[in-house]
Amino acid sequence: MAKSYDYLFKLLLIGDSGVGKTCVLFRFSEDAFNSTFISTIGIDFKIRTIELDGKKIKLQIWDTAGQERFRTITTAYYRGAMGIMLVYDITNEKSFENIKNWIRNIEEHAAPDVQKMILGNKCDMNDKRVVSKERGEQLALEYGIRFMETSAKNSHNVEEAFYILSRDIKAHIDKKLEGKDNRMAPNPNIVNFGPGGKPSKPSWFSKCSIL
Amino acid sequence: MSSDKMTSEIDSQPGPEVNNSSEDINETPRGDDGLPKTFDVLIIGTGVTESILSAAVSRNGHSVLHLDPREYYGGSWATFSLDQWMSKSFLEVPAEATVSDLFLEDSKGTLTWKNNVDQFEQVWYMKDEETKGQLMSQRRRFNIDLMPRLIAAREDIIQVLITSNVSRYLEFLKISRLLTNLPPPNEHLIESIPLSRADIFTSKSLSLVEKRSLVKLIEAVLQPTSSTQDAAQEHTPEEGEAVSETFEDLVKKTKVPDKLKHMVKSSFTTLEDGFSPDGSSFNVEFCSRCRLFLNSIGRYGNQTPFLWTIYGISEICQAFCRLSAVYGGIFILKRHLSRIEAQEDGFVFQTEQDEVKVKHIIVGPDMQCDIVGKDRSKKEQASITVGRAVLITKGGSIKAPDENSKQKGDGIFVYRLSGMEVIEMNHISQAVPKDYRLLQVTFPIPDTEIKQPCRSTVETLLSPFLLFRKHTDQCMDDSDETISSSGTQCCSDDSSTTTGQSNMKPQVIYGSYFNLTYSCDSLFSELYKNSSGDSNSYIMSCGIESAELSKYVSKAKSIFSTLYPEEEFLPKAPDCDEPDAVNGDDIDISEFSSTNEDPAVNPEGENNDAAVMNPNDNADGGAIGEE
Repeated sequence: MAKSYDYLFKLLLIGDSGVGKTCVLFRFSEDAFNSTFISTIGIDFKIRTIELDGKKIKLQIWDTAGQERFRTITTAYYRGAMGIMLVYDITNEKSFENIKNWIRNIEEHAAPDVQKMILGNKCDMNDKRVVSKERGEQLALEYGIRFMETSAKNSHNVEEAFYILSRDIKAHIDKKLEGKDNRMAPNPNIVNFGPGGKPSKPSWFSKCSIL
Repeated sequence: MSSDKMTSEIDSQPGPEVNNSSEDINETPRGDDGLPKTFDVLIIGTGVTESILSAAVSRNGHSVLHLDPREYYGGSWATFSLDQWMSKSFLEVPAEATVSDLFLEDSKGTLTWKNNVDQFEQVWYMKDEETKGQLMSQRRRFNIDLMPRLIAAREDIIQVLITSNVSRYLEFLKISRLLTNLPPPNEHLIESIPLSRADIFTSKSLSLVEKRSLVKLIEAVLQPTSSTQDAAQEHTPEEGEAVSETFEDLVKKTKVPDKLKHMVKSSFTTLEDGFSPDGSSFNVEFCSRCRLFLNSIGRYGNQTPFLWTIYGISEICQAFCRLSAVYGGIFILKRHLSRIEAQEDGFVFQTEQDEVKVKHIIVGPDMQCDIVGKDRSKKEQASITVGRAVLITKGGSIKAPDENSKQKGDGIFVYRLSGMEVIEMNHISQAVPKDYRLLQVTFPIPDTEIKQPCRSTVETLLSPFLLFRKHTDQCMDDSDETISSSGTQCCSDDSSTTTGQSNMKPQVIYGSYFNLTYSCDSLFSELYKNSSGDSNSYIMSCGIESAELSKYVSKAKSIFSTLYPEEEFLPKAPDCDEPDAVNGDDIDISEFSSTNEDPAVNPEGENNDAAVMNPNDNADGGAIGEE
C-alpha cells in the first residue's frame, strides 16, 4: 500500500475562547466559513494535505475542544505537536494580552523545538480593532516567532499562514535529520491502536498492529 | 484567590468558542461566567473511572459538567514532572473541597474529601549541587506516575480504548523484558522470565527438565480454554471446571520444580494477591490470569504481555476527558461545590456564584459520603494500602541484557523482586531524561504495617541490586528546608560501598517513599437515589478498594448502565483521519456532529473479537510480530 504523503505534521490551535480558532481551522481545511456554528462540539482535529517543494505534507490540525475556556487544556493536548498557531482577536485586548500566558503554557508542556506563529484574527473587523498590527508584530518579535493578521471570514492570509508554518517545520525537521535516512523510522516498541497517535508514522502501518 | 482571577478572565470572554454571530445559539440560560444553568450529569474528580464516565455520558449527547478540586487531571492516577512531584501538591487536601451541606429528601449528609497519599518522605542520596543541578535542569522531562500501571495487551481498558476510538490520543510502549529474582538463598540473582516457546528453548537459566515441565504446565492451562472457545457458550460448566483448577493442583499434576514454580508465580502475581489471605486469589485465578497473559503476548509484539502508557497513566484520563470535551463536556479544575440539595428530579448545587441543576452526580474515589439518618447498606470501610517508591538512578539497568541475547535492551524492564514490582524506565518511556532511569516500585502493605514508613523496607529489599549511598549525618526528612540546605553538608561515603561489585550497581540519586490507600465505604456505587421525579436520579461513587485498572473500567461501565440502562457504552467516535481522505476537503461537517457510528469502521475495532489468537501460537513467539 503506497502512502499518500511524505510528511505528517501535528499542528495545534491555541488561544482564548471566541478568537475564531475553529473558524480558522474550517477556512483552511474546508475553505468554508460559517458564523452559525453551534460550538466546537464534535471537532477533534482536521486533516488537509498540502504540497511543499514537491513533497506531500499531511497536516493534522487539532482544536482545543473548548477546554481553553476554563484554562483546563490537558497536558496531553501538547504531546507530539510540531507546530502551534497562537490566535488572538484584534478586537479583543484581553485575548492579545493572554498570548503571553499561552506561550508560557506551551513552554511548559510542548516540545522545546515546537514551531510557533501568532495570528491576529478577525482583521476584517477593522472598525472594531483595538490591537494594532504593530503591537502584534512587536510581540512576535519579542519571542522571535512569526506573525500574521488573518481573517477566517474573508479567507485573508489563512492559507498563507499554514503554508509558512508548515515550511518552517519541514525546514526544521530536514535540518535535524540532515544526512540521516531514517525520517520515518518508527520505534518498533511503540504501539498505537489507531490513526492520529503518532504523526510521523503512516496510519496504515499502525493498523497492522492488531492481528 | 486564584479562582477569582480565573472568573474575571472568563468574564471578559463570555459565550461559546465559535460564536461569531451575535445571537446566543445555546438556549440554556447561562450564569455570570457563561456556565449553563442545567446539566445532565455533574462529575467530581478526574481519575480513570470519572474520566471514562465523562466520555461515555458526553459521547451519547448528555451534557456534562466535570469539576476537579485539584489543579491537575488524574486524581490518584495523576502524572507529574519532577518539580511538581517534589512540591508534593498531591498531599494537599483542598479544604473547600468538602461539601458539608448535603440536603437530601429526608436526611442530611456530607461529602468529605480525603487524601490517599500518606507517609510521604523524600531523600537525596547524592547531595552534591552538581548532581542535583543536572537533574533539576531536566525536571520537565520527567513524567512520574503517582500509581504506575502496566496494562496487559488484552485487558479491558485496551478494548474500551479501541472500540471508543479514544486510542487515537494515546501511544503505548511495549515492555521489553520481564525478570525476577530467584528464591532464597539465591535471591540476589536475577533471571529473565522466558515468555515464548522460543525463549524457553534458548533459555540458559532453565534445565531441560524445567523446560519440559514448563511447557507441560502451559499446555495444561491452555487445554480447557481452547475447547471451551470452540464449543461456544452452551458448555459453560466445562469452563467452570477449567477455572477451578488451582495453581497448586496444576503444579502437582505437572510436577513443576521449585525454582520454576517461583518464576511462574512471580510472573502472574498481582499487587492484589498481597491482600488475599494465603495468596488464595493467586491460586484460584491462576488459570484465567495465565490465559490473559499468554493471549496478551504477541498481540502487539512478542516480548511481554504488557504495555506502558507513554507520558504516564494520566494520559489515559486526559484522553477520555478530551473525548468528553469534544462532545461538549465542560471542564473546570480547581473548582469546588459549597452545597448540594436534592430537588424534584435531580439536585441543585452551588459552585462559586453559580447555581446549577443536574440530574445525576458522580463523585470520584476521593470523596467520602456520609449520610445521617439514612439506613444504608454500609460495609466496614474496606481498604488496601500500597507501598510505593519512586527512585531516580544513574548507571544503567539493574540487570543489563546479556550481550548474546536477542532481546532488546531498550525501553522498560519489569522486575518482580522479593514481592515488589519494580518498573525500570529509560528515556524511551518519556518518563525520564536520557542517562537516567526511573524506578517505580509498588508492593502490598499488610494492615498491620500501615503506619510504618516504607523507606526501610524498600532500601533493604533492593540493596542487593541498587546502591543507596548512606549518609552518616541525619538523612533528610521530608522537609523542603532540609532538601535545599543539605547540599553543602555533603556525604561521607562509606568507602566499602564504592569498591568492587557494588560499582556495577546503579546508583540511586533521589528517592521518595509513600503509602497509597484505596478505599470504599459503600457496598454499592449508589450513594443516594432520589425518586421524586419522573425517573430516578442518583449520586454515584467511583470508590473501589483496589488498584487494578480493570476494576476501575468495570466500575465505569456499571455506573453508566445504572444511569443509562438503554444506551450503548462508548460507541466508536467517528474517525477524522480516514487514510484515503487525502484532502480534508471531502470530510463533511455532519459527520462530526452525528452520534451514529461511522459506517467506515476501522478494521481494528471490528476484527478484534474475531481475532482471538490460537493460544498455542502465542507460546511460539516469533510468528506474531507487529508487521
